[in-house]
Amino acid sequence: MTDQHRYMPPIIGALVVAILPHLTRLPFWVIAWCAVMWGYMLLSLHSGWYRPGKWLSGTLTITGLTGVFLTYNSYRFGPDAFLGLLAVMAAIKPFETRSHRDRMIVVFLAYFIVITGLFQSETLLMTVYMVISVFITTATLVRINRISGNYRADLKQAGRIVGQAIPLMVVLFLVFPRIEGSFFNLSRLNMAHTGFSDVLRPGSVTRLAENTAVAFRATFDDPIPAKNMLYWRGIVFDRFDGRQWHAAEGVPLLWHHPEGEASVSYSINLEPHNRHWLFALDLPRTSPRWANLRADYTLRAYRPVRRAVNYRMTSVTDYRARSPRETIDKYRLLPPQGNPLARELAVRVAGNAQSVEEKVDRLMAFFRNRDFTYTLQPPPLGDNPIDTFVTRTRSGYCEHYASAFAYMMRALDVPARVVGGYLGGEINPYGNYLVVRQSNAHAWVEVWEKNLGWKRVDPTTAVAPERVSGDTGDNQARDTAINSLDSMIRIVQLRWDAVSTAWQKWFTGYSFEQQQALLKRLGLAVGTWAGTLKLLAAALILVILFTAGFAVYFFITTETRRNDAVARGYRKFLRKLSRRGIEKRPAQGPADFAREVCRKRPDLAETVDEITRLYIRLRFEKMKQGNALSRFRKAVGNFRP
Amino acid sequence: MKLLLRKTSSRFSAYDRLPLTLDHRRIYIFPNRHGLLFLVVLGAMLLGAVNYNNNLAFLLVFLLGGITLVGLLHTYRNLYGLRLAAATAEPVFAGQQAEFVIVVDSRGRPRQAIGWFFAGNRPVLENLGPGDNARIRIGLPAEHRGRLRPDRLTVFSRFPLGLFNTWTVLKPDISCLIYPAPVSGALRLSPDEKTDDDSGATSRAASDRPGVDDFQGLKPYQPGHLIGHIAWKALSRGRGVFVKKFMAEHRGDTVLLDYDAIRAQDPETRLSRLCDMVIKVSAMNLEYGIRLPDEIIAPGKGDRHRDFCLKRLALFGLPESDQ
Repeated sequence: MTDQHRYMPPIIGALVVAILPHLTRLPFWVIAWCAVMWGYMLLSLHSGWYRPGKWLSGTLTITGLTGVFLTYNSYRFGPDAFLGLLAVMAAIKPFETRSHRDRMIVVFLAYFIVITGLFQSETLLMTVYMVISVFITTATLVRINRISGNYRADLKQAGRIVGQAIPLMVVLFLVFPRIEGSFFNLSRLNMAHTGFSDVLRPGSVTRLAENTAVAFRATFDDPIPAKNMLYWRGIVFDRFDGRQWHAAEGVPLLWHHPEGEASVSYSINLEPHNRHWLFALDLPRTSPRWANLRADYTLRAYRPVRRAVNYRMTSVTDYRARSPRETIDKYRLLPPQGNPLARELAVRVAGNAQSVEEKVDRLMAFFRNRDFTYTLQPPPLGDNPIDTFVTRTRSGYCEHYASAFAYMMRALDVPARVVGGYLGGEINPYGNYLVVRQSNAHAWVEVWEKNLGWKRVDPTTAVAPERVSGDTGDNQARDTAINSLDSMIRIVQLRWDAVSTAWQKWFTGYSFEQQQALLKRLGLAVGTWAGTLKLLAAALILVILFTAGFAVYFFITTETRRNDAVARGYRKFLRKLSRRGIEKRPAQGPADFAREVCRKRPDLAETVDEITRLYIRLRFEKMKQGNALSRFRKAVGNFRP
Repeated sequence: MKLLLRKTSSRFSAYDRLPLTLDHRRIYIFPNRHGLLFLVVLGAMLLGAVNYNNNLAFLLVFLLGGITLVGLLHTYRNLYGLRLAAATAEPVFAGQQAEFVIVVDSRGRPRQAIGWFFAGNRPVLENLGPGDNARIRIGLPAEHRGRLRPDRLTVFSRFPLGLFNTWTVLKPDISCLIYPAPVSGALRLSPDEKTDDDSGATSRAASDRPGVDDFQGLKPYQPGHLIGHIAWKALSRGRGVFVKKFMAEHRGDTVLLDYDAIRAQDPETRLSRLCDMVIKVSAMNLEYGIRLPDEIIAPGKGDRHRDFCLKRLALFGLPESDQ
């Protein structure tokens, strides 16, 4: 068995394990490339095929790198491209691995691939996988640093090391000083945007309808409010350009709290979406420390949300949302041209209605009574989308209705705006929280009335009331199929989501604030730079103490511990006998002494013989004696002279 | 007083006396270049984790950091407590490879991939079981006759992670006797006191002498016969144990090997020739003595006598401290 036979399969195994969770992020050719290279390498070990030399592997490397640069042109050169680069290199590297040094480098590469995955996902599953992956890679590291031994021994050794490292990891994780924000603003390393964008056009919510990715989770302090109250407010679209609505810009901060009743407290665990907006139950009263509550009652984080965040919120579901006078007029603006039919239609439908309330009612009745349909496959709308929608196609998703409704309200000179967010959510009974998915995305309208302020109007309810009440056919089907396999899977899913949410809330949410809270509870008040330095020093001292303690335990060899136990047991035996007046003379050997005891106390002969025999074996035959030690201890313990 | 003197002298002497146990005063540990590279990579990962405030990345960095730290202890422990109980080395001829055998006590726990080498030589890597009598064989080229004292013995390990080297450098009080390299030449045991070739061997026998290996036949084996004379072929054919009979054996002659009679000028060459002769006449089971300029070795025969003679040749003319 050559070095290559001994070391190459586990090295390739470690690389495969490291790269496995990234498969979806890699282009197909990179996966094929890795599979071919590693497959060939493994086969050539057994069949003695030609092994590429310096020139060929060099050529392959250049080919692979060129492929990566072509796949990810300079615009898209982000973390995915970096991963592609690592994968291509990891595929070639085994061919160039000859010495111990080469092998070490490949193992480091495997560790490096593991960490690149972590910036993408911080789920419980990923955490568990990360530990397993590190374990496998460490076993490989052990293998290449020993001269013989089988895989089981490698895994055992690696398991011991990883197991002993975990307490250190926990200590460091808790006390290593966290800082707020980041060093550099690396906006180039963005992830893809998920969920809403800052324009609302027909189709922008519809495309989310099939997306079951989690947007956020909400845990309520009190019972979860009724489903028709669960409007999760995120973005206000205030500007219409004839085709699409644009998110409000330059909104001032809110200088008064909304008046209202029915205060609800809850915390939200928001998945990263790489935008500034945060979601909160309509209408938020508070804001996290790292975000602003703005005059349109939306929350804006200082920085784009690039990692899962936790925040506590208080909202009022029954509110009066006043808006400063001077800002109101812009909510009446319409582009000078376009969508003329919708304007006329609005005026015709409103008729002689005077109050805002009446106008809203008539328009809602219009949507309810004409043959409007609610569909996920709306036909295209062309240049005057509102006109086409209200006069011809009459089928669409919530953004079509919200957009048309707000437009028509403005045509009637009523201030109106479109609000984007989520509606409802799925209750997880195992965690008593609400999971809100991208498929819950929704758009609705707010109209302004002088006395009442902003009021929510959801035109979608006129067409599809079940959307709001939450009784979609889908859900009912789920509830009835209780004993089927589907429901089993469903329960497993819900339970897993509950566990991973609890994990995520605690783990991903553990940051500066939580650390401060923890330290305060431990009586360590910090918060300044000097405090951070002190904390760093404390962390260092803690790690050193921890290591030293472990080392002391570790270096008392098993041999010494065993001998101690044997000696202690025998002393106990002698003590028990001396209480009965039988003393061992210092020069007397254990066998001699046993004979003397037997002479004096024949009734004890059997046990004394047994204990002495075990003692001699344990003390003087250095080999392992199976369960001899435990038998010896038990015999001494039960010894009643 | 005497004890105190010995203690102090041993403290200041350059040699470590066996048995000795490797403890914290002797063992060093430091990251090797892979370890340093790994620490740099870990530092980069930590910066990334801090920058993105990514807790899972923090977790991984701390896990790897913990593994590194625990690995350091494992590496150190791999050497810690190891006991070098004794060392021996069989004499060899100059030009051969001397082999030092070190008896090692693992102190109850197995140890993996421990390397041993004398300064400037390739290491041997060995796994040790939990027992107390592992034998490590470390080679060292023997260049000159005399006592070969290894300069420094390094014991090292980088198991289990290969990120740290732990080592100890010893100067164990061990040596190997190196005989002169035998240089063969004609060995004619002539009747004359004076020889006419470069052979310094003289014989007091008057009769003509046959050649060295003059085989005369077989005779039954008796305890005391040289093992080298056993007729292995006969034995393998199942005829019983016989020894070969040589002419010289019967003569009861005594050969004197004379340093001064060898023609070569160079003392080393003379010793090498003498060495060769000792081996040959010993193989013939002759009784022989050696005359060196400062010493006369009384005639004798047998393995012990041969070894004594070779030792005198090995140490001839060397300072007292080397003997």
